[in-house]
Amino acid sequence: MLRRLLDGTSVELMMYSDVKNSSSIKSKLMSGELECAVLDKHLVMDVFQVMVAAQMAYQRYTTGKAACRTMHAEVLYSLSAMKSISNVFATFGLDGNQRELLIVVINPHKTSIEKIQSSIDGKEVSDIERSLRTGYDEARIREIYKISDTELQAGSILDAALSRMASKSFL
Amino acid sequence: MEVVEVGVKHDREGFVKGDDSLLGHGAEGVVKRVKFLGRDAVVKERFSKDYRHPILDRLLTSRRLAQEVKTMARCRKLGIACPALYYVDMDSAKVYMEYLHSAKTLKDCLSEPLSSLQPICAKVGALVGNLHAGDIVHGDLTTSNLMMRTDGSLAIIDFGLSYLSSAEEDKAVDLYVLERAISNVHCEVAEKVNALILESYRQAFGSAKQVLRRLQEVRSRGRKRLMVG
Ligand SMILES: Nc1ncnc2c1ncn2[C@@H]1O[C@H](COP(=O)(O)OP(=O)(O)OP(=O)(O)O)[C@@H](O)[C@H]1O
Ligand SMILES: [Mg+2]
Repeated sequence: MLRRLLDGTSVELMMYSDVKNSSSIKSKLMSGELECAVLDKHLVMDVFQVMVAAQMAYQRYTTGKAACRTMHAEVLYSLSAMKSISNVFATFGLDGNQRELLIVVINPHKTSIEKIQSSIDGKEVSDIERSLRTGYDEARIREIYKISDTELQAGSILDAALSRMASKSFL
Repeated sequence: MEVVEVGVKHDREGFVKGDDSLLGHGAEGVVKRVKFLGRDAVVKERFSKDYRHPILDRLLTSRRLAQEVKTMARCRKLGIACPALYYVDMDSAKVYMEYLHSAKTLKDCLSEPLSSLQPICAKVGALVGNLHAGDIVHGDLTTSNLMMRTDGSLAIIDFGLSYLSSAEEDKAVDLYVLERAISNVHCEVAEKVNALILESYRQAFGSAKQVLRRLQEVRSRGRKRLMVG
């Protein structure tokens, strides 16, 4: 699924289920062999949420304000509500056991996409939009973003998470 | 929950020109309705002021923007409805936030008959009471900064002048600004409306009594100022 950031930069989103080799994917990410962000799809509630994270990462990276070494790592950092980067990868990234993955590629190239696709042993999910909206882990998300019952009086859990992401560097 | 009818003239859709449409044009910047990463959103953009030194200008602009974002985040944590924050771009001094679909301002609601105003007033008082209980002072509590949604819930917007304070004086001035704004729109119902709002304010906020006492003083200062001209 191809989407665009504010300045027209493209972002490719892919989703896989029944992934059998997430630990090998993890090592390829760490060695820099794969250029993408790989997320636990249960922690993302909407395509919009991950697009906002991509926008934040892209903006910070291209203006020299990134907290992480790569733009794709910065996507995970942008999803997080924490300022410290130490827990970000453990929370949103791969621990080697996940079977359902959301993959984000900013500025995708044919060769990099093919490399990612051939590195994943799993089934590609076509309706990403629907899968995210219906299959998120509400309890974990509330724990990660520290969303109280009170806060849910003001709006949805997605709105709460988005507000956390957007305001993190101001608090 | 009662449903508030949204009249055609309030429907923002009618004002859309292409993707961007102007919602407000203040001294500090512009507010536009836009599509942001595929979703309806509102973007608030602050201008730089030519008469200010560029470094000072950037500092002031980013401070105000940070203050606005902080207050909005605090509001939501306290369960007070305001637009969700989507994205803050410090480099161009823009804040992207949730677009409140078909919401109409309190100003527009005030033309409704008094009977339907009662629940609205209760919500306004409760919201401002919760705001003040959380030590948030809005700083520009006018009737166009409170918005009724189609589901009957109330939201507060425009935190450009907001700040944190526990001072009774600051909260009393907030109430006074709202009271004046209501009186300016509809003097026939103003007295009743203001009384209803303060009644639910008192219920929502434990220290309301002290603030209301202070409000008396603020009012009399206001009257004196009017007499002097
Ligand atoms: N999130 C929103 N959703 C829907 N409408 C909005 C939203 N934010 C602002 N508006 C509309 O735009 C108008 C101006 O917005 P806002 O008060 O934030 O800007 P402002 O620069 O202070 O303008 P003004 O000086 O007119 O108050 C509001 O009165 C409201 O009608
Ligand atoms: Mg305003």
